[in-house]
Amino acid sequence: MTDTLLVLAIGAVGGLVGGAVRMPGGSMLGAMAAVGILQLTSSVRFEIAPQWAVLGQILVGAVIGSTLDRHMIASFRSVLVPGAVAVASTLLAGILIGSAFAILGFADPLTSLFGLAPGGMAEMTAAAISLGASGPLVASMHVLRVVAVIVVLPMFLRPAARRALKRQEGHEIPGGGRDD
Amino acid sequence: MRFPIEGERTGRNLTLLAGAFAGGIAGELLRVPAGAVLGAVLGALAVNLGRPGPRLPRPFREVGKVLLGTVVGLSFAPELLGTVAQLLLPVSIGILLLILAGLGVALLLHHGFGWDMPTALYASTPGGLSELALTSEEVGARAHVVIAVHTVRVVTIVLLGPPALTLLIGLWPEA
Repeated sequence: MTDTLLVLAIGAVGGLVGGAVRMPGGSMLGAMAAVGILQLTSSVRFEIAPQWAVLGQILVGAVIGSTLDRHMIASFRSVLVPGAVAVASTLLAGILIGSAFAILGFADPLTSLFGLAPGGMAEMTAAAISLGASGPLVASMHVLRVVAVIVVLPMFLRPAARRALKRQEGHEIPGGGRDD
Repeated sequence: MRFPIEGERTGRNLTLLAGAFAGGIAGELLRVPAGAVLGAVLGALAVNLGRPGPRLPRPFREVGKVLLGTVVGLSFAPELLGTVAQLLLPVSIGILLLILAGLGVALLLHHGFGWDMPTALYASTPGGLSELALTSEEVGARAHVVIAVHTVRVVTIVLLGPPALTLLIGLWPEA
């Protein structure tokens, strides 16, 4: 009981700090880092009841389920075919790359597939834990993905998107393209 | 639907949570792959479609993420740090390929379906939903389309991923 309270308290503090510094996936990574440091530096091995993981999974699932409403479905329906192509292609790419990762022997198949599946960090970690994959490895792989997308991609994504937008404005409104 | 009274909002949140817990516990008891998260999504979704209203506030997800982070942190061991370091390069290559695949999808959406390039780029980038939604608006992408595509992507992979991957693992040569 004392172990559980201590671990949850340290996880909560880590989560608050991670959230406050606004790092990607901050609350989850902060809690993971704080509890991980406790586990690595302590002479005893801490454990908590598995029901806490189930509670975390249910809360993450609850929020995801509550985001999908009729408006969202209507938005998606308005772009059904290209939207489905976007979703299916992205998922297929994740499965292919994850399979290659496992075939090359970098990690076991479950960890590889969940680690490189383009789902949410928390959602994929939750699913991975419940299926017996390595939670820390899956979470670490998603940290890299989110950091790469947030930090590296905007460097050329934003200029490319802005250039494309200006080109379109130039086509739609004669003389409308400004080069600012 | 608007919820002007605080009590109604609390009732709404409790109903969503009740649906999610019912679904999550059922998923666990029925031993569905990733049953807790899958059942919770379906439970909250059923409540949401039956009685549309605001989504659950962000703190609920944050508490869930802290709990998951805590559980993941407990499985840390010295050997794991070495494994993560060893996998840094291959994982980075895998992520680069994932991003390149996203760019390929963006070109397909742009040329094949006539989507404007900002929307196509942001809808096909495998990043976090909230970050992409925020930045997509800044560059003139159609944010509601970007949000819809990414929400459907995450919901699809949460709903179909565990059973599909379990099936795939069953077919795996070494399994």
